[in-house]
Amino acid sequence: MKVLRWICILLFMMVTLVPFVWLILSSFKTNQELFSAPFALPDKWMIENYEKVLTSHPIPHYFLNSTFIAIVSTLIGVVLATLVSYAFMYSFKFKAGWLLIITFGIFIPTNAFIVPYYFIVNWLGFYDTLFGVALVYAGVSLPLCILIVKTYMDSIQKELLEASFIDGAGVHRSFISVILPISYPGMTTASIFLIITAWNELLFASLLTQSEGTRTLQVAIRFFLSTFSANYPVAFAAMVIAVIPTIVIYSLLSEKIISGLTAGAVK
Amino acid sequence: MKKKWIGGAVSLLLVLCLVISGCSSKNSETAGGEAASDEKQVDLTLLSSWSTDTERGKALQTVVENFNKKNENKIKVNVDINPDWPALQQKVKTMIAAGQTPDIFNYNFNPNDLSRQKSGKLLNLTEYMDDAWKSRFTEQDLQAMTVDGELTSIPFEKAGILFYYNKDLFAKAGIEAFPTTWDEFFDVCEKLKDAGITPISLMTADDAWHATNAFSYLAASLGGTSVFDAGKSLDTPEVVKAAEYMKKLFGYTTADALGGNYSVSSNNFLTGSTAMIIDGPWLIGSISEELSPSIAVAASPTFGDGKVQPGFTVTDTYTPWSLGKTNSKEKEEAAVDFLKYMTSEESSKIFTLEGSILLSTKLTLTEEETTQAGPILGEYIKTNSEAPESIVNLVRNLKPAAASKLPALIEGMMFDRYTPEQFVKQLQAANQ
Repeated sequence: MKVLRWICILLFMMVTLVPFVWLILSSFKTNQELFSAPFALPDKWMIENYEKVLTSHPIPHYFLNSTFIAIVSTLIGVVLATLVSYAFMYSFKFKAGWLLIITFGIFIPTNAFIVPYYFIVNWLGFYDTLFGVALVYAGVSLPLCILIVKTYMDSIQKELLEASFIDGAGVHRSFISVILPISYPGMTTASIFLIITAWNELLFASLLTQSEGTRTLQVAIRFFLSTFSANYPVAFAAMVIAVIPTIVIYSLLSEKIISGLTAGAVK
Repeated sequence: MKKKWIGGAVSLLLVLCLVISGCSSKNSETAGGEAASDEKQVDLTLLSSWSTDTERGKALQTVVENFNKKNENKIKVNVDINPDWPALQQKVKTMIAAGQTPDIFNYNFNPNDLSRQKSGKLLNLTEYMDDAWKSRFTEQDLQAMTVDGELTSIPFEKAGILFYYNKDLFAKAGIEAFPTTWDEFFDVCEKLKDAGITPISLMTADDAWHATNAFSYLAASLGGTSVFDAGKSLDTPEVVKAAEYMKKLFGYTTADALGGNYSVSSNNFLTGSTAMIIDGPWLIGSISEELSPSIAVAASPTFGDGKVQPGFTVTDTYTPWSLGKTNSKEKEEAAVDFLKYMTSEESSKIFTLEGSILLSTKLTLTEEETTQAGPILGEYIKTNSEAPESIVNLVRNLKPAAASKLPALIEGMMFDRYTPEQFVKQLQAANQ
């Protein structure tokens, strides 16, 4: 049984880690080497690829832009998702219908929002601003965030809320002092989901920004893979740099993500 | 506990307010700042996918800098680059749909997709087309850009697609010259294959560019340069025959051609893994110094039956420039001034010699200038300029539905899911 478990773990690791190891190894090759010997170790480790990434474009600036967008969109998304989820702890008219409308957003393809989002962001005066992109990310991810936080809040014993009312707390006090502190794992899961989505997103970042000052890291990576010139190893080096924060965040908070996602599964 | 949470919430709200006000002020500063810094200066934004990492991007930068210098304190063109061409095209269409047409932008002209021209958001340049500017273009090119009597785009890039081949690999297989007929071409492929060399780079992903170049050359060789004319059915014996030849040609390509994209296919040639590729002049900038002496370009073979003249070319579509309509006459005139400068003799020379871009605009190069351009580009310009007739690549004439179906159809034919006849019938059906 133990052997079978290890075989499964190793197989899974191969599926998930091999592409990443290949990406790292390829980021140290020359373009020619990549195509002539794609699975071999680099003949000469091309540290220059990383130097080129960091020197040919203001990557640290794009890095900061992506960080700002990820943080702001996460703040907006999680605050709104938490407030909405808390409201759903109470009974009100057409509650099931409202929930259906909100979660329906998950099933609408993102591409369908392109023109309306562009129009609204422009109308608000947020075109080519980092905040405009963050606002859109928060909006696009909101249905799923609500679902995550709401699922977690559903697992909270209703008696706890009733007890706080008996102790004299109102709706707001109960939210701040009772529900919010224990909803932390659900909020963390939603935050990580939002951060990773915002960090990796390309379509809206490319649509809603224009100038170099608002360019994100994902848009910048495309500079190494343009239509007329593709330097894959340098692009891979940029991808390795871009993927580091995601890995670090996930490694540090993986337990919270799992507990947040599994909350409410067993009551 | 309560105070802590209220404090946290208030701080969060303040941060959000600061962010919103900060971002909003950035916008108003940009808009107002332009007017405040210099009331006479007109700022224009040009959207382009030509990053300055590429030859064409550097050439564009030079032209824009030259123009800005000549119009100092009057007009300033700012270039915003999005290197992802399909994403940029999507963005331009979105901007037009949202009524925020970019000041200056370029796109792939497709007679079957005139959504931009018919949006009513592009500036009609007819009134600005004076004799001097008109003389920079051929009447045929200007006619091609005229839709419903309005000239909303200016012909710019119209690159001939040629056959690049690796002379060293040809020599290794005992081949002395580039074939002039398709029968000889397939013999050459066989010889290269026998010598352990993969004859040609092809691809099927995205617009299947290298494969459709071959297909277009074959179809035109069989049916003449009118074979893809607008309104004509694709389901003809000549196009079916061309599909049969294309299938045969896939027997001489790399294993990664099926599903491979432009980069995979071009890199196979650029790393010396294949002996031939059919591509435009932009490939020259990617040829390494070591490989450069081995590379030559040639015109397409024909079937020698007079259906096409030897030396004919398949071309990429027009990649014209357009201007967004604006309420400001000053801005409109400034944008037109820039287009005029961009298509001038001076700028055309920069684009061709420094950016390896073959243009629709008239350009006379001296023998010395052609030589200075480098052996491959020099040969390219010469071969392209001598072309007696041309035809636009099939994929650039397809309707969006047919273009998006093309990769799956080619792959289906290669995996014997469709016969060449079925391939053509399905393509025609998608193109209705």
